[in-house]
Amino acid sequence: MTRASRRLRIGVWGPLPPSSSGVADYVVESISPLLERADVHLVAGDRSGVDPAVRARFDVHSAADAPDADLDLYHLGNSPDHAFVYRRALRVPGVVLLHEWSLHHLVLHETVERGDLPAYLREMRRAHGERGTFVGRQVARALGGDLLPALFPLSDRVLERSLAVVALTEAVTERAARRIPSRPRLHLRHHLSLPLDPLPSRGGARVALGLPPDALVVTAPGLATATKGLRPAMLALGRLRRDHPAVHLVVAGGHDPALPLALWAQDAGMADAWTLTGRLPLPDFVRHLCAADVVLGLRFPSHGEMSGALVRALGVGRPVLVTGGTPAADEFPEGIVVPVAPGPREEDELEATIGHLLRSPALREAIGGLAREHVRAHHDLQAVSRALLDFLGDVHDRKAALVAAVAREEPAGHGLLAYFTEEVRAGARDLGLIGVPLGVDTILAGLAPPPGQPRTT
Amino acid sequence: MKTVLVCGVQAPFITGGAEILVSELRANLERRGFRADVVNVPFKWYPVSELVRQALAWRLLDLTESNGTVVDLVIPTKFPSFLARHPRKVAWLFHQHREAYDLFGTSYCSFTDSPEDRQVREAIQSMDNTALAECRAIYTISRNVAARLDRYNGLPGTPLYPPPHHLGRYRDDGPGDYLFYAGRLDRLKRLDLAIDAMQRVRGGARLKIAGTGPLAEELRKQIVGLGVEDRVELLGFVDADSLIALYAGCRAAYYAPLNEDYGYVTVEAFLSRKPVVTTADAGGPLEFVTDGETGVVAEAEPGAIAAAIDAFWQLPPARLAEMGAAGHARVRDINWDNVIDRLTESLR
Repeated sequence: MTRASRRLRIGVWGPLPPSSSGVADYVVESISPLLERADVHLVAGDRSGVDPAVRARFDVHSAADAPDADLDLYHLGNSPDHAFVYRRALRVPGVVLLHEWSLHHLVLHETVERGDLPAYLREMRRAHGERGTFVGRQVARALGGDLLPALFPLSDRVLERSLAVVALTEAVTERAARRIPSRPRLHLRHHLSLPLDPLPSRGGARVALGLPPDALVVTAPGLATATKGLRPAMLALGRLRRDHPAVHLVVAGGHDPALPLALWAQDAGMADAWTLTGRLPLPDFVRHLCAADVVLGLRFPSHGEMSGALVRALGVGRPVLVTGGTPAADEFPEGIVVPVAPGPREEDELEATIGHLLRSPALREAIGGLAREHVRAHHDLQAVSRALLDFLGDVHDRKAALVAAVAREEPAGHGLLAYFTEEVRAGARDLGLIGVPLGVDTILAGLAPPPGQPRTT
Repeated sequence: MKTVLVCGVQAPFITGGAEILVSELRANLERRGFRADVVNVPFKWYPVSELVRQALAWRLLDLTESNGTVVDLVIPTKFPSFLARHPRKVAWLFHQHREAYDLFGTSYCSFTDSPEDRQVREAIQSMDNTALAECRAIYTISRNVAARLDRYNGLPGTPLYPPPHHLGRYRDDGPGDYLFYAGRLDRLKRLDLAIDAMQRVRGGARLKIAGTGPLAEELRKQIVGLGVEDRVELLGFVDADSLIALYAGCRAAYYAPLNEDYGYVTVEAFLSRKPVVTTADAGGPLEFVTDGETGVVAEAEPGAIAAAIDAFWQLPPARLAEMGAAGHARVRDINWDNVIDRLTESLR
């Protein structure tokens, strides 16, 4: 039966609302357009925990009793919410949609946080050799802060077990291409999805949200974490208040409780000029973007991700400050986003850039207008979904060969032989030789006879 | 002309006894009419997690022929060179990776009891069991190395002593007034014991130490700390002529490493007709040194060593010469022709 005459059955695995992962919203938004050309079921860790509205709209299953599919699409991000997807992707090869490159925190959760330190050290060694072993011990002892995991991604294994890879940024797509050059890959632009149509005006949104109508609102959307640059942003805004007393920071989303946001605001002289909303329903989240004069989309270190909040902010036509050197800065044409260098002068740069934007409503409108036009032209949900479906169709046509290629990479035999094989394959993996027969299996098998078998002389 | 490939293992920028031995083996194979060459793969033994990957590099090599020339015989020397694949492998085993065996659990071992290190140790033992069992014959540089192989791997090894570097040049200039050590200054050689003992000697003995190594500075500090600068002299590197002269002029040699594989010092001293002061746990040297006949075997603690040295200093020259002659008799048959004959036996 040809592809044209038969609808593909796709199993979409990923966190679903009310998961705190931003990927959950992405997954739900992506389904309706897919359903136009394919049979799609959703798989969550536990169906009973999924938002009833989502269960009512879509065919949702628990991981334990997921139906068969022609192809499984695995949404993977860097948080424990993706653990069930990660386990499944390692067991049953499918198409991996990488929302970021690192996956380090996810693997840390799957190993150390489940009491299996040796497994984590094996993963670090597998991916990064002797440096990985050393750093792994540091990270496992909670030393090294947030930066070390960012420098040591752990996505190799799941990529090697995948039939194909989809990535939301060119940066991640290129890295995947180097890692698994023989597997199909797709750079899929992050879709634009706005749940409000028409969008409220700036003033209308502020009324709905209870924000001061005349304030100069700077909004930091999404979960507030240590990577979002809020400390330098608050210090910069604190300085700007001298010239712009109406400046007001809105942190539109939940926050990492370890982050001393109130203390930072006090230090910056912003104690009475900031709002923390807590986690928001999607429509209110978009209202906050509409209510903003300037949006902060800072992120450092970056794992190659493309933020959904950033795409939405661009879609509603607001100027967005992003961290220079990250995909958010590099993968849009010039003039669409406003890059800020993340170095020691970040605070000064933020003060200068935000100050310039606050002084010039026309500039804000111009940048916002360009941003809106760009993402509406290039990040359209329907077009993005078509590209994904075409890709999945191609992968499905080659599925038998791809499954065979993945099988060639499976560790062979018992413990010691598998260990030897992994050690030798490390050199091949560094060269991008994934799924390429190395001809070493027989050689190594002789060195590690199964337990109980006498050695030959 | 038969072709022989000697497999060396080298840590780049480090040259020691093993490297010299490999190069002399090659030279003597050529002298005996073989076409010989040496292959080396760099080896890094740290961190522990690197060991297996480094070792497996040898397993992936095809040494059966090179550019159309068939390799008739492969002679691996130490871990992990014997992992090389060849239908005619005759090992001349200098040593295994001792941290996985007799040094495991001692302060000379970097393996921990973690699951990862346990796996590495298990892997080394499995690799050794298999790869050494593939050999047509296993010769070892000493009985001590053969005993370890038997104890830990259940494999038979035949001792085949390597001749020292300056064979034919050693001489005896009569008994001098100093004790002599020559070799690398590292922890396993336990020169700290000797320096400590020198603070306790009463008979006027002096100690000259020739060689370089990672412990040089530590030993220097120990000498100053114990106030034995007038009794212990660190000579650093000495050239061949000086080395032979130092052996020729000493009263006895000192050599008390921990469970040494072989130990050239003993053989060089005996070829110079000098007795040897050693300890009961020295390993290889005990294959040659018999207490009271060819030297002194003391307990491995400074007081006992000092007492042994003092007793030695009381011996008349005639007795020293007698012991030197007995030592010489034990090593005079160590020669390259015997080594080459045994290693190439399977080619005849």
